[in-house]
Amino acid sequence: MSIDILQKLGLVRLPTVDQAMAWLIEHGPVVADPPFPNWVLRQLVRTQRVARLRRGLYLVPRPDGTMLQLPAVAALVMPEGYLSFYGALTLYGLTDQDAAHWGMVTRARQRPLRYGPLTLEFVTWPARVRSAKTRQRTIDGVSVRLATPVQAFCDALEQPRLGASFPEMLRVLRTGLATRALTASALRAHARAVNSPALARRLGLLLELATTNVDQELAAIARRSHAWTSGDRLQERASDSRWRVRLSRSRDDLTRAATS
Amino acid sequence: MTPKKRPRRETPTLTSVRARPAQQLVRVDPADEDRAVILGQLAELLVAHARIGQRIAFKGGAIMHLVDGSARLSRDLDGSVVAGRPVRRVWVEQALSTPAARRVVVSVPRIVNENPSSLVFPVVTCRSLSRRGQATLGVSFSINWDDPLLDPPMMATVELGSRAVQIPVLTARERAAEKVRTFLTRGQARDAYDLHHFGAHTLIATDRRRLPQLISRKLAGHVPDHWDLRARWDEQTDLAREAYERGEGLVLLRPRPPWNEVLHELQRFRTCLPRRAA
Repeated sequence: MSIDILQKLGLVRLPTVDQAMAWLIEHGPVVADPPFPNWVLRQLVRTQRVARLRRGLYLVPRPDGTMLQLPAVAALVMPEGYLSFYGALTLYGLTDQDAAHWGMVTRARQRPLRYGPLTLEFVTWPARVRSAKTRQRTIDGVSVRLATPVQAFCDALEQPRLGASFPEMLRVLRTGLATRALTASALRAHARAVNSPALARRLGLLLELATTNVDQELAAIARRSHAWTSGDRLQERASDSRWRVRLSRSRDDLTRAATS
Repeated sequence: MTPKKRPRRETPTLTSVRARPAQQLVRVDPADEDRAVILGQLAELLVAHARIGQRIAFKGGAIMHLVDGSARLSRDLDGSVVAGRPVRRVWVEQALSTPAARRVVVSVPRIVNENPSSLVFPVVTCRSLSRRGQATLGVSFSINWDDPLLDPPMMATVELGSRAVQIPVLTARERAAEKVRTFLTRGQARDAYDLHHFGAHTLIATDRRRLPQLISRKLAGHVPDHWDLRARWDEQTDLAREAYERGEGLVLLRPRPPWNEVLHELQRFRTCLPRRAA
């Protein structure tokens, strides 16, 4: 006789917390505002049976006991958005590092998620959600809208807080050019379409360091404004007058750091 | 002279104690656990090759995780050639096309960067161990022979799921000396974390005595002669601190140690540096 029948007959009573867990698994893997008292949810989180992504939003294991990966969680929370920035670049294998800060481009504002040591931020770019170049990829059985390598790389340069350090971006660019996941012409075309001096400056400098060619089209966009752009978010210790970018280290150091 | 006080640990607050289990629940993407085992299997396959096995020893983040128990996960396997002689691409391709390799590697990698002193496979597609169906994982792999090893490699036992294998690795002190060189040129948060792990958990007293000599030899010819190495170390420490405090490029299985503990270890390594590279 199964435990379910015993429970229905009233011969066995499962503890409330386990009932809540069963309900969550049935309604999971991502559950918003579950109808349980706070102490039940706190206990489930404390005993590491469910993860609290943010206030009122929980991730629970699937019936087979596996937890979804962050990209799949992001797609379930915001199905119309697309996953981009440095996190997307790691999914393409363009770096040997993992991303701690992930970013998703969405129509509407959302509070960030925390998933173990990883965080997921939502960047509100309504126009770009429609126009971005993306492809569908299935991760853990969930269809995820993922930016193309060129889109993800340029997005990461536009939002350095969701990108990586300049040497790391240079490494990504070199790997991308070597594996043909990225091409100079596609990156240039994308930057021209976006038409942002900040993007043109960062991309122009990285392309110059990676290929030794100065891209005149990007240079023209970069010189459209007199203001200077910060290269990455670290303290500024050097500057590059050709691209009007302030950097945390010199060109030589950037190249050396990217190759070591 | 009064001894220097060790920096105090931050006192946990009620909120931080409550928040910790939830933050630590899903520690990493489960694929990363797979990846660590796959990197160990790749190492085993390469060691099994007649030409490569006698020449290669492993190092890098993957080895720190598999051998030293570092909390930092890596996606790439780094190898060094013991005698500093080149490894041919065809040997690696042979090693990755055996029947045993087919169970790990989906296909022999086509994209290879053949450099004068290194061989880099940026994308090696492997079969996922824990996922069903046709799920795959990408790892990368590199071998370099720019300088011969200073210490003879040691055999280390690596747990690969239910079995253990022995693979040759660089000695901990030689890996630490190479990491010091990397920190001087790269100065990333992950390098600072690795040095902290070497200093706090891996190196023993005899290693530390040998370290200054190893560092000097590792630096020779690899960093410009005009650098004031200690001033350079301080600059890189500043850069690493900014990135470390933001958690940039660090995905760890355990909570990351406070910066003052990392700084303490960095200062100890600084004392091993010569003024200038010979």
